[in-house]
Amino acid sequence: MLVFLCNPGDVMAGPFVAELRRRHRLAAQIITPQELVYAPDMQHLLGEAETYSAVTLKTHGTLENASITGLVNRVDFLPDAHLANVNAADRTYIQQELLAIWSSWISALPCPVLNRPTAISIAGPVYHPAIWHHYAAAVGLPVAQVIYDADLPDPQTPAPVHSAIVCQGVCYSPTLPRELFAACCELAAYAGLDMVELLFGSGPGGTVFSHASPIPDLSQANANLIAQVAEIFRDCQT
Amino acid sequence: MILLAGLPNEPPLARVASALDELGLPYRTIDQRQHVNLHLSLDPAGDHGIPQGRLKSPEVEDIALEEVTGLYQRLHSDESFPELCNLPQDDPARLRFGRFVTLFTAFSDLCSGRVLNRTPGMGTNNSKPFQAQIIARAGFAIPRTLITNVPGRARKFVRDAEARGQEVIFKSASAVRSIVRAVTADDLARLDRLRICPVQFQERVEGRDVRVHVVDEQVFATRITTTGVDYRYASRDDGGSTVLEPFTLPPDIAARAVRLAQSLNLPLAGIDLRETPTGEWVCFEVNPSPAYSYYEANTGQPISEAIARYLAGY
Repeated sequence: MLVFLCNPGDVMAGPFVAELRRRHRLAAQIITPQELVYAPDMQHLLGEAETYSAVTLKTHGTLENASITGLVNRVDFLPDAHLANVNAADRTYIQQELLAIWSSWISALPCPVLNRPTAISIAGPVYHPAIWHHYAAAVGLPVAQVIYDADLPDPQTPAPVHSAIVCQGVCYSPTLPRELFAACCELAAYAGLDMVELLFGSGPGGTVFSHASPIPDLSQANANLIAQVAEIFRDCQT
Repeated sequence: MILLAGLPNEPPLARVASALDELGLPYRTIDQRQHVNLHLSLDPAGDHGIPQGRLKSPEVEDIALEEVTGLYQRLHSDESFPELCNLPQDDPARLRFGRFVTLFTAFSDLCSGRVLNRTPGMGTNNSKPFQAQIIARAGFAIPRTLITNVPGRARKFVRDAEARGQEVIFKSASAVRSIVRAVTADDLARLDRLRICPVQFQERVEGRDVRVHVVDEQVFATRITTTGVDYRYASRDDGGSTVLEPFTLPPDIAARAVRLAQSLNLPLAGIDLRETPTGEWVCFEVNPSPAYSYYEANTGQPISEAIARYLAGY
């Protein structure tokens, strides 16, 4: 099974997954982080010859790590509604535990994962806006002149007017100048993200980098991007 | 310029300052207790790929960030400061403190000099099972570990371990409340609480503890003999004792420790090893911000000097 791990409000993941199933014949399923975190049975066994992980979901039954053939990670936080009656100190502790456990569980999957979590972020590598700005300038993307000051709120990023989605070295955008595509791919690689949306605004001299999201707006996805994602996971189907 | 940032009288920072003094190497110290008077600005795009900025502190001349060639940081959260920890989370003083630490950390990640340590390396300790996977890939054995939210699976794991004569401990999976405890009969009776959050159980590994500090490619190993489950807390919890002695690692294990620190992007790392009676080397975790001073003070191993030399570019 190809898992699309998405928040319940991720409405554009549905049509993307439907296309993967209908046009590309992939056994893709949407699973929410709620289904993982509230699963009645999870296990993560380390220290053997091979790591073994499994989770029993109310909706899809038991998924062992070997039965997940690919995962597209579109989750930026884990649910904690079940902790509403837990005191604040314990709630913070449990939130940290859940992040530590599920980031490891997903990372241990032997299949291809787009945006594998890190130990501190379920969504994959995350960066302060100043670091994105530095990386964007370093790869040759146009950037606005900004100064971050600890005594002031962070500078406003330019309002987005262009969007590009980069997926494993291929850049898609209907409006961004094509001469920026190579630098966009380099920025995604620099950031260690398999899939990322890069947003650009208008500066005095033209288009400038604004910010980035590891969870691209899939309403911007075209048929070529869907075909590329299908190709990434095609060989992994059982 | 070498920069030390944190609490100047905290032993790890103080010992590096002393080592720099003895080596005659100039450095500046940013005292986090002066947080109200610390000012930081950063131009991340900078000049020719080098971020530019200014750090103003009442005790030292303004520091040009682009001139920092070595940085040892042990920044503390607002919870460590009495004047901040009781304020509401959205109090302006607390928010400003957080902005300073966040921006300083961003600078440290972008700094072109030598930094102990940067965020990507520091972060792996936030998930011990995540880090354990990296440890295993580096060639060390890791303890047999089960994380589960099912009481029956946990009980079976404990029974199976006991059948092999092994005790089971539990410990947090995150970096929070990281105290190791043996699983008791009382714990087994209240496993239904696992439903709210899975728990990490681990087979206890018999053997001799060795703490390894890696500084770049130098290795300082310290053998620990203790009466406690967790030697860091043995004296406090059990009325027990802990003895620390310098130790020489087998060359292949020392090389493996250096490779592990490098794979975690940690030029400074505290690696917890245990040598089993059968000669296997098991690694429990890697501390990305090690309080090496405890080991140096007990053994005389020149760890702070190695850190000072690393910061100076030697």
